[in-house]
Amino acid sequence: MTRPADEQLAADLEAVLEDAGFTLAELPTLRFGDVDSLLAAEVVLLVERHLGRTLAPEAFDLTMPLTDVLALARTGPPPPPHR
Amino acid sequence: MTGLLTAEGSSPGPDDAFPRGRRVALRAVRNTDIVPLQRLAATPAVRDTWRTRGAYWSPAELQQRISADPHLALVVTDAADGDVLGLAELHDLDLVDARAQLALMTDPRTWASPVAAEAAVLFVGHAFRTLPLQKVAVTVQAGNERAVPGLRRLLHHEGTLRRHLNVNGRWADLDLYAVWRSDLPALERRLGLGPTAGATDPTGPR
Repeated sequence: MTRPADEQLAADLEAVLEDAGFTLAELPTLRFGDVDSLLAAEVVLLVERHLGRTLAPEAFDLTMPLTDVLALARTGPPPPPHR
Repeated sequence: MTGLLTAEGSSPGPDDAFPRGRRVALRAVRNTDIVPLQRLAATPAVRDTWRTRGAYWSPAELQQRISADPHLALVVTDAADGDVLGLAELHDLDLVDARAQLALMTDPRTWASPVAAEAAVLFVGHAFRTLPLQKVAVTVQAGNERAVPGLRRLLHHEGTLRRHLNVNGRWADLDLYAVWRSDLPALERRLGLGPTAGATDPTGPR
């Protein structure tokens, strides 16, 4: 049985956070500037995998809370441009 | 390979000869890259941590160093729009010992994204696929809190050289890390970059 996508994302996030010495509970307190570059990269990669698309580098800055990128994962990609 | 700089449109090979990832593409350095690269190198956050070691390099000095020092230098560009995001270089090539050293600078505006990690893995993969290397070394100032924790999780920490660098009049320790050819597939998977063709070892078994 496969896990729901949100549950899988939470589990994957917990794994990368723990690998970097953080817990899932600490996530709301962390900004990109508070964590090392590998953890920042892995959080973005997990969200991108969840969304199924690559996010532009300028979508993030070091003052941005990590939870903001997770909000992207919850809301999903913007609708395609109107033609 | 020396004399790395090329005039616009006369690169030593087509850009598709160089690796392309999900968000960055690597290509040969062109003369028109010097100004944006020099601006990056002069940014304080880059200047103190890259091989400039706190010093200001003029465009001419940067151009001369890119032409003279590294065995290979590739520009890191945004895969979507081609904007210059950084520079990846391979130094201290030693084919007897089958090793070389990576130097990487990236635009601080991308430091919250996977640009640097992706560029580094693409560049190291390119080095392993085109040169008979077994090991690429990475050095970083031990006080670089953005880079060091991730490097310790990702690569092999081989030691620390104490008071090794004079950075703008301040002594800094230098951490040594290594990535081995055999590490590459796992690194590519971790960064969401699938192993590509040509990953065979040109040196054969050692």
